[in-house]
Amino acid sequence: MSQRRGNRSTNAEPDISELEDSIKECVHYIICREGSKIPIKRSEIIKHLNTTCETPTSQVNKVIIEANKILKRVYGYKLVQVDSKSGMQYILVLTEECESLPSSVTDAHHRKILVAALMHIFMSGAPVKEEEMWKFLEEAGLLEENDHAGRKLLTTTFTRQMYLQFTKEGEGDLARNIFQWGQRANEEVPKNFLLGKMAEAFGKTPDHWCEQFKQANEEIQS
Amino acid sequence: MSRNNTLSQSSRTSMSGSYGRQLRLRNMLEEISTVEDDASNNLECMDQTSRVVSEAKNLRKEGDDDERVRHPGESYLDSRVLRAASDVTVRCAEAVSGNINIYDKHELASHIAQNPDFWHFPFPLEIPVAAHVFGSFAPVAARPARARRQLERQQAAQLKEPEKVDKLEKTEEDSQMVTRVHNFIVKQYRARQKPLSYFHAVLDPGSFSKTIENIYHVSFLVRDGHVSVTLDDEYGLPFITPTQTAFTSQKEQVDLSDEKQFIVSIDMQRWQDLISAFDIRKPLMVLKSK
Repeated sequence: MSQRRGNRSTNAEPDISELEDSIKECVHYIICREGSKIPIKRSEIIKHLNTTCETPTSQVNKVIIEANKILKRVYGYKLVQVDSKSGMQYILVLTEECESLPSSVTDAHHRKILVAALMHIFMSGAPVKEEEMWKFLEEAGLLEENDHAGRKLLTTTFTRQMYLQFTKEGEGDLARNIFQWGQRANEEVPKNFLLGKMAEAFGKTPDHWCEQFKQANEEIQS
Repeated sequence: MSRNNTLSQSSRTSMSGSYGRQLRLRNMLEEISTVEDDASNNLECMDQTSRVVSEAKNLRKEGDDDERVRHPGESYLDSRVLRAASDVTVRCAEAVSGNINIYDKHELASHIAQNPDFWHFPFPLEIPVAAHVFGSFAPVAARPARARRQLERQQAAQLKEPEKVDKLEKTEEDSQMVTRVHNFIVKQYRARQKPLSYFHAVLDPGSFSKTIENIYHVSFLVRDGHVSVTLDDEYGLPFITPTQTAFTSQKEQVDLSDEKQFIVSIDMQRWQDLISAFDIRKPLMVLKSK
């Protein structure tokens, strides 16, 4: 492997071979951590590499860049940096669209709730109020009325996984919590894909919903 | 609207005109905060909002300025209605942008309710989640680690206590053993009426550690002046003689106490050599451990 890399990039810095173990460990760590879908903190990667490979913190940037190359070449994944208040964080997504099988690990019911929530926000074309979301999910038969544990799934789990964004809007009596798409949803779910599903469900063409169709096309072009 | 007017006419004639208006403003506020949930699309939502706003306007015309000054609560509620209405408008405006949004959430919700499996799919750019035999690196790893550290600390603390007690028992046991060894030597000496061969006394062919223990005990006796070990002129070997304090004179005792250095070195090899040299098959000194 190192030989091939040597051939591939002649301008590679000479000390990358020394970091070989750290890079492998980094790839391994990222893939394992991604299983939870909770963004991986840069500080966590640094800590892990420091303890397992004694990688100096100054080299971690280089290691992450190399690890990302391997993730791309071998797995077709890419690291995406996400916004956060507490330091740099990454999520892992595919480099190109792919029809994968439904994962055996993710709960089917949870996935349906997530799909419904994302679809509803997208089709509404605007942030969705908390109460309205509960009503919608109840109507769709996915969440019982006053199922507070189920609601936590949206307000906590999906929010931590960055599929949803759950924020407060307004002040005083008029304050309400709203749901929006999170950064992971923006990365993983193309809007025209969702619109395609809508069209399939209702036997229409995607441009039936012209406002959403426009938005989906804007996303493709950008 | 005409119904509203007649209603307000009657309320003006009543004594609690301002109170009635405030009550109706409150109702409007209630209505406007639920309008988004009740209306099935943006258009309907906007219609209802504008109806509420014009109603509030009519209501304001009813009371004159004097009355409003006397009842500031009315103006407050009025402004609250306007504020809520403008919030709804902003949200509707965000959703409209030129074209009309014809998305019907009730239609989608009922479709999901009827075909739940259609709405279960992985996302195109989602990485297939790898299942690990031993679970994933969920960020819960920190907790068990902390718990284990506490456990270790507790164990260390528990160990300390018994250690002290053990030591005490040991010294007691040791001094008991020394007394026993002394008694044994005195008994042997009395029985034979001659000094006891040192090596025959201490060597235990079955156990090296027992031999060491015997040497150790005898050395204590020598230090305390209870026995003396002397080289025999005839054989050139050490012999043990109990110093019978009751019968020895003071002078002798002083002499003895001057020489109580006693150094023995022994290792496995030497122990084996000595055993074969003396042809010892059974330990001479058999003491019950307790």
